[in-house]
Amino acid sequence: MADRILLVGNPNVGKSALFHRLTGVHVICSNYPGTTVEYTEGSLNVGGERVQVLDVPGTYSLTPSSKGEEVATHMIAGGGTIINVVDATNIERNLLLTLNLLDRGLPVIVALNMWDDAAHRGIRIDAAALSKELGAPVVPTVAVTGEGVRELVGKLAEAAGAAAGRGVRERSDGERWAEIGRILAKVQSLEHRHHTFAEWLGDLSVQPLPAGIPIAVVVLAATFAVVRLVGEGLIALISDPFFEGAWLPLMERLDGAIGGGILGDILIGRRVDGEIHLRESFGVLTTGVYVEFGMVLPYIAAFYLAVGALEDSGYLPRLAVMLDSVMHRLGLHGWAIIPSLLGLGCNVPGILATRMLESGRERLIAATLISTAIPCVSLQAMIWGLIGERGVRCVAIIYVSMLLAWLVLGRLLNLLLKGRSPELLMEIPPYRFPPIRVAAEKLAMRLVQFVREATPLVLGGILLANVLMLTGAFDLAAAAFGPILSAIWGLPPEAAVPLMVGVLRKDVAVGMLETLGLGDAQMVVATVGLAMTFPCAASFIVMLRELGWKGFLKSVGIMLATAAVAGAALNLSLKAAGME
Amino acid sequence: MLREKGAPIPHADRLLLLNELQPGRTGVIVEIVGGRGICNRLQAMGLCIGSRVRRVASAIGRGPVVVEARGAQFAIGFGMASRIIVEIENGGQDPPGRQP
Repeated sequence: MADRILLVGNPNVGKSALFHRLTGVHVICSNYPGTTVEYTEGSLNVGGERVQVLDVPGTYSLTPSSKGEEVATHMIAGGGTIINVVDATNIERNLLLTLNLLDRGLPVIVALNMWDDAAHRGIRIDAAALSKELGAPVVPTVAVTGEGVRELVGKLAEAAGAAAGRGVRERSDGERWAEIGRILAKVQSLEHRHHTFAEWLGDLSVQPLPAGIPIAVVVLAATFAVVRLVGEGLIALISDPFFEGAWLPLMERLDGAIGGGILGDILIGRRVDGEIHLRESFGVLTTGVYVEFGMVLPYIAAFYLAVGALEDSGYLPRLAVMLDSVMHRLGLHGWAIIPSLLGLGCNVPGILATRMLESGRERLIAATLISTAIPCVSLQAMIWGLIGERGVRCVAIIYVSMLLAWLVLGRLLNLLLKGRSPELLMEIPPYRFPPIRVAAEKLAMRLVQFVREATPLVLGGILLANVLMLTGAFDLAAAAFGPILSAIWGLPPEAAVPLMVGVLRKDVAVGMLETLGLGDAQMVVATVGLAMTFPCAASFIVMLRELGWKGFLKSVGIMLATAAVAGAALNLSLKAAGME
Repeated sequence: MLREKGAPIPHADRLLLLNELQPGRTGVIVEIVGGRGICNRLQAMGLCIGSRVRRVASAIGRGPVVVEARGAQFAIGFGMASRIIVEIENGGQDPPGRQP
């Protein structure tokens, strides 16, 4: 038995779902090609032996054309038993990679995944005959329900022996396609059947007019509405009653027990009109806990509920087709809308997802646009929660400014950077509707991940802010950077501090800005500046890793310049418009 | 080049660029004008010389061309599609007077 198992296959065939079934490790599965861009590790017990299992990014061939595919070919070269995951609803296209793997003499076992879906579509495959034709074990599976997984594990050991029997073969892809045609004639039979509703909808939503573009507009508007309604609903029905009714009295009692002092200042914060204020007291346990769990978490849940539905249904690639022409003007192609959309949740997965883009130029443009002009949902939750109280107008100005910055910056980068944007080439998956349980598990996993990653940063950020305030470091920072801020953005010097805290967490920073007593115009400028300047530390690290030092410095330079110009322009236009 | 300069192109009247193929019609890829990189990527997805492709949707302007091949749907950027030459299949709907 080999010491490791690799899950290899075309994009979007269910490798991650099978990985979860084999190892119990949760990974994000969606219905678009390129969900997995990094490998994930887990382990499996085979006959009393622990074996490492790797979820490999999807690839069409063993000659990579994107960073995600590079990762895949590199891992395959590293050895191990290969579980070649094949989409049973479309084995013709999938078998090219299978033959490529077999021809290299690698130990391969084929998982004919989505077996149930194939049967629904009237596709009948003789698995035994296919196994004979390929000279490798073949097992039908349904990864989302776990069907066939036990049998797959049981047959793992046969892969090596089969490979030894086959040997290595040298042939061209053209010859392989001919071979696939021959194999299919023997093992697959198709039942004639009528178009299903999902197929009809699929064709409709990929045809720009009359339906595709209106559908895209409706889907995007509905997504936004769902995020807003669900987010606000969760706050009104669950988080606010809990924090006002239970948490606040608890904090009052705690404050009495602590009895002020430095510890009180840090944990509870200062009183507003003699009372503890969940948003403005700025203690670790008051504002810190409230911002993360009371204001941001509800919106995180709402966002991933809506975006999860988009991911799983298979709509995103169709949206990419609709927006391809627009994205080309920004130096990208339609696929780049997927990382951008993910960036609206959190910039980190957004920037990671740019790996599926083909060229370094595209990755630089996409990552820069995400980190500069796409506010993450934590920041947006604060914008709606805090700035929303100043009126819809302020929120609208912030969103319009960010959208304009995204368009203008993308256009400029496309004109200024050498090279051309490559062409879209993407498979469009059929619409699928995963079991509710699977969708719920994915949402739960994302919430747990958010709480785990954000809690130390939010609480630490507020702790740090308090320590800085107590030690007088704030005044120093305000004195150093304040004059620049006042000169270009028309902000008071103290605004330098929240902007610096923004490097840790943007949501905490907006909360700090709100305590400064800024006017509407200043608050809008400060928020846009905060959103555009430094992304939080986590996105910073990912950018550095994905772009390398050179690209990273370029990207940060562009970001700072954009923020300075946009903030100044916004400040001037708001003043000209007479906004206070 | 595949033929001598000036020599007649066989079935020239049946050749189209992929982006010119009407929605609902089927053609067979006869040539891909482009570097190895593009050819390899297309080939790996099952879009190679000899593949039958059916145009699924029309596009606005220079939007991507959506086709079906080997049972899967693909979106191909306009520029890439205009470098793929297809021979339309005789479905009885060819323009009059241009039969070979």
